[in-house]
Amino acid sequence: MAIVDETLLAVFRDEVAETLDQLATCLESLKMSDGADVAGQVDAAFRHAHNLKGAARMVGLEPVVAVTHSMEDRLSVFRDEAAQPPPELLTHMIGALTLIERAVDGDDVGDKALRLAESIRVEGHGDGAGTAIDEFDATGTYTMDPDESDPDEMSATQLMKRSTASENAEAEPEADSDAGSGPAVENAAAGGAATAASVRVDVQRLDSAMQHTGELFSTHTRQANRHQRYVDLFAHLHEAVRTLNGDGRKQLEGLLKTGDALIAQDRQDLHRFGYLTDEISTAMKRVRMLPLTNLGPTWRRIVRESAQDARKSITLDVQVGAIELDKQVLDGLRDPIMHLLRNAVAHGIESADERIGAGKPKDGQVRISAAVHGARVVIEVGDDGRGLDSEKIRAKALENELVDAGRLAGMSPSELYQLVFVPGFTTMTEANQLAGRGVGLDVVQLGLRQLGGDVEIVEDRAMDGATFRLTLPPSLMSIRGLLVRAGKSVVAVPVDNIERSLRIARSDVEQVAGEHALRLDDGEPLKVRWLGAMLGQSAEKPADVLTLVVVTSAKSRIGLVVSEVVGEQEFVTKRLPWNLERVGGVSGAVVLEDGTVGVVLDAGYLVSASTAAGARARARLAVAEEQPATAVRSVLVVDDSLTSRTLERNILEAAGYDVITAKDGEEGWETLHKTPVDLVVSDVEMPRCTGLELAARIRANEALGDMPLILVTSLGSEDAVAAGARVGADEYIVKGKFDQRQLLDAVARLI
Amino acid sequence: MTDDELELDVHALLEQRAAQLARKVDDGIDREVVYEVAVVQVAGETFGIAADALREIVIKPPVAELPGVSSPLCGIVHVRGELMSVIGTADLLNLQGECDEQQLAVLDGPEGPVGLLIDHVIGVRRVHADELAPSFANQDARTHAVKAMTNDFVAILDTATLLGDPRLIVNHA
Repeated sequence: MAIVDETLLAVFRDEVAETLDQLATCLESLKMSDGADVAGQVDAAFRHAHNLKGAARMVGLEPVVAVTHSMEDRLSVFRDEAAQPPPELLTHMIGALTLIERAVDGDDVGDKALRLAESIRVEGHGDGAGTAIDEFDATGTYTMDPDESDPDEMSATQLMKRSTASENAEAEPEADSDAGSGPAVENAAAGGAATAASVRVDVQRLDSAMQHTGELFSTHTRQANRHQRYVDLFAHLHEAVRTLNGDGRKQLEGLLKTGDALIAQDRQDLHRFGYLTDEISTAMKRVRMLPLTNLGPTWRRIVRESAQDARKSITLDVQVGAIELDKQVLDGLRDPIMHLLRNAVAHGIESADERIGAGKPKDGQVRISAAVHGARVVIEVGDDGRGLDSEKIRAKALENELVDAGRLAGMSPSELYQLVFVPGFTTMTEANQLAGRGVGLDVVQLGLRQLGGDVEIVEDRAMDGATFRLTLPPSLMSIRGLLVRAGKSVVAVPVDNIERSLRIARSDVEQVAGEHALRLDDGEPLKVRWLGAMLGQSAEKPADVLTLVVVTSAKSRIGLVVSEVVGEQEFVTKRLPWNLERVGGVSGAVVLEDGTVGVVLDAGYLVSASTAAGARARARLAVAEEQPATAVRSVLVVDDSLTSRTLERNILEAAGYDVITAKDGEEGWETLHKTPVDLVVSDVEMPRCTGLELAARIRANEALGDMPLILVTSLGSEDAVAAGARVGADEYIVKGKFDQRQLLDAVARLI
Repeated sequence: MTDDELELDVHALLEQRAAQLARKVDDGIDREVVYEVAVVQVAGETFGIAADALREIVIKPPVAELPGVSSPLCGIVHVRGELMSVIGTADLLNLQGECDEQQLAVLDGPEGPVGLLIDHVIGVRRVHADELAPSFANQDARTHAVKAMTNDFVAILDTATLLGDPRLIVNHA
């Protein structure tokens, strides 16, 4: 076999994927043809085979050359006669595409290729088909004079190779062609790129450019906020100046006028900046978009090979139009759709005998369709097979103890079907090469969730069997998200997953079957979760009114209690760092305008944590279910020194206490009667009422007598300490030796 | 002394002084530098982080926590346009002392940057071969992430081993 030119192989692989798909489409159309446009399809198939042959020869893939030559040869006859190729020949040719794909992938298919080339040559043999085949030499290598190629029909690979050869001849006429191929290929590639309609760009460069676009968004938001502050500031200045008189006022008014003009220019620049940021972001997203049809060759190969393994006859109908997806999304879809296709072949489509017995066509059909619904892309993978067996699903669910019988009886069909996505679930009694090990559909769901989407099983009247609906965003590079605060964390919830947000009375949340639930105005009960608890935050103070965000995913929904809704914004999403391969409940992160990081919630994961099938997700998240509030303790700090008061307040607040301050003993005493506190920290030497006097009053008061009390003072003598003890102080801390740890330890000991 | 003799005398003196100033400070013994490290404090202990593995040391930015992700991982931060995980160094090395963790040492990890929480940075230092505790390799190392120890108890971290700790990988399948 000729040595494959590795340098050109990359270009060849890019080119051949599309050509193979186009050839497959033509051949399958011819096979299903009702006679319309046969000549056109045969001609198109001939040209695709011809291009493939030329490109394969350039990279030295002789097996592919052999097979495509046979195809080209046979198709030329039918083209000339405007005749329909026989189905058996078309089946051979379609089968040959799999071998070509394997050869392109690097498999050694030499002998098989020759046999296949021969079988195509003889299958339904007509007249005048053999001439070109005789030009194969004894090694099976076809030699062709390069000048035979029509330049107009040359593939990119051929053009690149020809350009390389001519540049080598000009630059190094004495050099060996192999030695000159490295740098010349690069030059040829560059030259080729200058004349071609596309440029190959490293995806990482695009990612890097996109991340900088994200920084632009943040910068724009900061500038917009700053501009508004300038506007407010100048408004206040105008008001202040109006109260003045005389020359000073005139002077200031002149300055303000200049400031107003600057603000107006700033506003214009800000608008322009925002517009350009949007444009750049849109352009960058567009650069990364690729047609969904790029996956077509892979899908056809999967169905072909799976059908061959299962000894079934199945056709694949692809109706995805011109829909484009971001490269990252496209890459992420490969595995989920592969699993669905294999599932359709293994589970869905019956054998030919079964199908005939059921009055169906012998050949099973799998269809992939796609459409845009609002901001989402919906892809449906369906088959006309036997569909899902509800009884088997129920039986397996009980056998695997996924859900108890009572709950199972109350499940709607859509809820029941969701059980098939549980890891390990399968209704097949025996595993085979294709399916039955229970590994497939949970991978589909996981894969979709990682893309910010989800999967559900729907009823499709056009297809009798099972149809899986995948819903996902076309791009992961940016999202429109609602920022919410949960405890200390700020998180972004994709707007596409939000039904609404509302404020509810805490008393409206009921306990139903051990879970918190709320009945909304549409009558549907809604499970309620505390987002802060799910994120592992400590419980907040109980509140009478709660802020609830209703989150949806694949027709399921939950209510998330949050501390605050911050606002809605477009974000450029960032992938989680390299070591965080998968974090349950999180699909990415965004950078907020203040430079802090907010995580992007995986709504599907959160919603599934509340379903019967979400046991693993639920175990993963810290679903604390509004822990009995560890009430926040409050401390009264009494000190006439502002510095001491501030220091002690900061220390205690940082440790999680609520702090109230008073500037002397008298104020402290009044505060104690108005506001309940858990502990008093007081200085000793103060005007109006000293710390010792305050302590005495506290101990003498029936209601306050047991109040924990710490005296913090600069008086460190033994007498002073004793005085403190006499009035009933629980702890005595000397300021000279003050250590925040000492204060915190003392507070912790007492409350 | 004639003017010419004086001039020659001054010239010789200046040459002598120049020669003295040009003389090397050390006594000519070459000391092998085995590590160039940033010396940092963590939980009361002193560590050396290889300079070639260290990008920078910054004030610790606000850390975003992640659900179901536990120590030694603290969360993620954003530094100069990049997201990175934050590692509690004291937890990772099982240190018992009290931490301040006000700064972040940004390291180049196997596949991207990682932030190690430190209390503060002390300085940069070249560690010579004769400064290393000779019997350290034979001693019971506190952690396999320490590859050498100086005589004044600066533990030189093996950042590759440190960042290869499986506890740093999160995969909630």
